[in-house]
Amino acid sequence: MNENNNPLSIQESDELATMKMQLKSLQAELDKQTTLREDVFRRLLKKRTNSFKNRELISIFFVALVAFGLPPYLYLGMHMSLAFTLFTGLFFTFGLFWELVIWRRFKIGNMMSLDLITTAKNMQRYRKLNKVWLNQIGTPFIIVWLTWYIFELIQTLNLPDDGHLRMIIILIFIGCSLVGALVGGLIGYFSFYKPQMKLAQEMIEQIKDIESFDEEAE
Amino acid sequence: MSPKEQQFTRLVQDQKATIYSVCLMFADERTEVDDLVQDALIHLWEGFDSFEGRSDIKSWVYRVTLNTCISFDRKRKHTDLVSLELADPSMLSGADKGSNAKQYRMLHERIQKLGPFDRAIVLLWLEDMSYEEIGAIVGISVKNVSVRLMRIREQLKNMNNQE
Repeated sequence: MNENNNPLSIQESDELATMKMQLKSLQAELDKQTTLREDVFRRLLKKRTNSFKNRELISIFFVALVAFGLPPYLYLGMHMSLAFTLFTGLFFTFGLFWELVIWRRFKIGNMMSLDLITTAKNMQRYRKLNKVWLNQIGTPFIIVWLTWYIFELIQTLNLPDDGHLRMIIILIFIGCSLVGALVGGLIGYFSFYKPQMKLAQEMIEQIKDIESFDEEAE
Repeated sequence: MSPKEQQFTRLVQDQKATIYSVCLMFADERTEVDDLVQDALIHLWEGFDSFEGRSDIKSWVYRVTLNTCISFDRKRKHTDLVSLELADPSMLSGADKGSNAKQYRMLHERIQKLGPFDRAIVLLWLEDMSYEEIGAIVGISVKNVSVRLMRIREQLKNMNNQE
């Protein structure tokens, strides 16, 4: 053991010596008892990816699908304006580019192979970028896009000529859209965004704590 | 099985005690051990291509398994803040049915009382790894490892006095 010659090395206390003995004994026991079931193992190998990686891939796939599929449908299928079609296409292409940059930057499939602090930092940066996306890009865009979409949709509807009835239908339409957007937003905020941010904060604190020892040691 | 799968199977066979013991020390109950081992194996498989023997195999297995466990620990702490009780005593009984079971539980309880990074550091130290190796796996300096270990020793001493 190198640390035996290290002036900073700790003396093996009774507690640590006992724990070392217990761990060795436990590993010897596990080595004898733990058998790998071939069928379970094969299935596991086929699984290959974890949910974290899958979620990114699914999200890239859907953003690509929307970026390339939605604009032609809006323009040709729903006869919406060219400006709105271009706005939608440009935003989702930007979204796709953002997702791909994150994918490349974090090499998500291989993130766990890095040292523990680097992995924690990468996870934290990954969450921070998601936060930037949601707060500064995604939410403002969705508000503008939804408003514009409702406006475009109303233009394409065959509304009755009666001005009063027409106004009621439009208001109901806008009300339902806003309620839907609000409910969706709240679900997203409480089930995804808030827990993620709490987790990121916890990680920052842990990293700060462990890194502060470097300064202390100096 | 493909040659790569065969190679990976051999690696897991050789390192299974390491993977299981780390997962046991981070798990709260029996089912969690299996979940953690599965997650660790998936991450090991994902990183297997890029490993290419650039570092010691045991250090790499430790790095991936500890990252998996620390990640899991954060998620669990976040989703289940109420579950603060110590390990289910029955979960280690599978490892040894004799008098050692009590010893394993004691080891598990002590390690569980430490924070996730300290848990990782002490497990690596108990494995007789050098400070340099521990520092490389955790991503901190050798001095930091020694200061951390000194504090962990103090914590363990206090636990011992309280028991």
